[in-house]
Amino acid sequence: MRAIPLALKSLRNRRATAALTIFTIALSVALVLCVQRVRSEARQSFASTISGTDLIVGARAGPVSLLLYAVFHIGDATNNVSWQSYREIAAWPDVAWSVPISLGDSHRGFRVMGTTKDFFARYRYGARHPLAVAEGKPFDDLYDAVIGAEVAQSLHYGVGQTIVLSHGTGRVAIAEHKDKPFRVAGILARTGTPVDATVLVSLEAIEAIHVDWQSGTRIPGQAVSADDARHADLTPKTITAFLLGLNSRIATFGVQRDINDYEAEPLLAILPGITLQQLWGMVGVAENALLAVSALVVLVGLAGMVTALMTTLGERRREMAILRALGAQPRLVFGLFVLEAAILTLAGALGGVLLTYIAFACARQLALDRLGLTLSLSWPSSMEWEFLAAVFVAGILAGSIPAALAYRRTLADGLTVRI
Amino acid sequence: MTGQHDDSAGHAGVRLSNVRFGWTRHDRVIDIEHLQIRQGEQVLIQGASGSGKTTLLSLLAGVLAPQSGEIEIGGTRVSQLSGSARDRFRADHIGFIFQQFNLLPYLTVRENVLLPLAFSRYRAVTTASRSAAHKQADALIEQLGLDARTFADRPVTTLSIGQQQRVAAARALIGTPKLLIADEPTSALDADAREAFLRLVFTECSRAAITLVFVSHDRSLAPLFDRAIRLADVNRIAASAGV
Repeated sequence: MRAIPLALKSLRNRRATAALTIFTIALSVALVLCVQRVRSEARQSFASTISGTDLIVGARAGPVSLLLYAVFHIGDATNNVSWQSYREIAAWPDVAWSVPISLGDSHRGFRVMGTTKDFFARYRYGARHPLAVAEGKPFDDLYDAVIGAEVAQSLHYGVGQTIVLSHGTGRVAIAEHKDKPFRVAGILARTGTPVDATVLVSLEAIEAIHVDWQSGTRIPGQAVSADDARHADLTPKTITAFLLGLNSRIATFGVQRDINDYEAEPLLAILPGITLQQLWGMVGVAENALLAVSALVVLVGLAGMVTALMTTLGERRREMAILRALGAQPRLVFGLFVLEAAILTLAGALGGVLLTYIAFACARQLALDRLGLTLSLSWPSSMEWEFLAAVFVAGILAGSIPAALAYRRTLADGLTVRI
Repeated sequence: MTGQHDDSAGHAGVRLSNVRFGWTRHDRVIDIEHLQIRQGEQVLIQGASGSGKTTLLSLLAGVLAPQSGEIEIGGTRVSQLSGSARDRFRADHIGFIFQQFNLLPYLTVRENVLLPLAFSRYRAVTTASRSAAHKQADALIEQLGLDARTFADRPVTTLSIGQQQRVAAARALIGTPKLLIADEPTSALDADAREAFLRLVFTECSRAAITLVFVSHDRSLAPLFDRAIRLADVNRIAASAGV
């Protein structure tokens, strides 16, 4: 009522500091909102790095480690899966489709993945998006390669580019497959998944470049030319892992158990969704720390407001004495300060929401292109409203510190003003 | 002329009896056995600085309560009231003018004059409506020698000190309080402005029979008032302290 216009006019009189205070709070609130939104977006996009695949199968190791090397191309498999086991399991009646993958080579720091054409049809990410070829087409010829968007962008490759694969996965090539160069046949559209940073070739091509190799080194004096390799038997003996799609999702656990109990060879089958969540649980610590730090920034913002209000205490003693002389009760003085804090925090919180939307609108395209993150401009969620309400309440509580001081001073000062 | 005893039984004016006040128990500032001011009387309370003038005004205004004794204003025993009741009483019945810097810098002249109405339903009622209140504020601004049309909507920071004090007087007088308390409001004015200001205040107080208690160290103002009281004569502390 009467206190509100008074508080507003008093704030307007100090609009420079008030605006700065509001801006500080708005920035801190925006920081939390941005972190929170990017975080949930990142979690979602991470959890859907691979979708539509029911099981990932590799040599027996830890589930997270299998996920890391098979999907994220981080680290290496300790063991391979024999081609024979793969063929056998792929023929099981519950299995609808299977895609073998073979890792171990690289190109200028990017992983090379040998697979079949089925990979393009079966690999899904996000909300079951299939891979799309932005330029060119999937591999046809033995020495064709398809590169991810990230590879194309950072190495400035176009369709038709000749590339040489390196043996091993280190950034510095130890040995190169110079004798069997590849041609970039297609470039994939950006997905925001590890596929972006992958060079895809056919499974046979992986065999072909290793025809004259044995246990990691070239067999001396046995060079096989690129064309001669075409006529060799290019059926792989081992693969790194394979993706499985099942006829019915109900069969998932049964098939998983059968693979884990597979007698011919120790194998491990994982459900990608579950393991992705386990992995995120580990990454999540850092993510929570980030959120905690941004929450602290809000505290700093509110502390700034308290400081700003405190510094006005001295210069406003006169104002308080005048109000007292007019018959204002000391609690009105308290109320005025709390009200000011409430107005500042409210404006700051709303400003923070606005800043978040502005930041997201500006960074939206970039985030989608670079990180495959969709920054949604949706109306604040109930959790975000709760956060904003918490900031508001915290602001009022913080404001009651200078308010209490002003109250005490007002009582002590009465109508005399010590300046 | 009516005797003092008739007044003491009545319900008008200001009456203090055996009022004692000290910030601590051993440091007594005010000890007034008896002080009586008739309704509508214009009184100068004259005293040197440090003689307890401001403390006396705080007691009269009800911001402070005496440790013992009784203060009666317009028939109400103010000293008997609770703190917030005294605040309400002050809002309803007392106008106050400070020495200087009376106005809220972020309000316009008219907003400052209208401010007391925000704290007192009683005074707001006497002005009936918003537009009536505006009119009354503008009339008071005019009566105190400022052109309402040029000044009413101006920020008070653009006014001279003399003009600001007149606005302060208009604010103290709006809604016709019973008692107007002025704490050396002319000390920052030059002699001509001082007299002009005082005459305006006198006229307004006489018009509505408002009791005026005016505090100053300046003895030369005495002839302008109905009565001049030396604080040292009524306050036994100041007397014993000498000077």
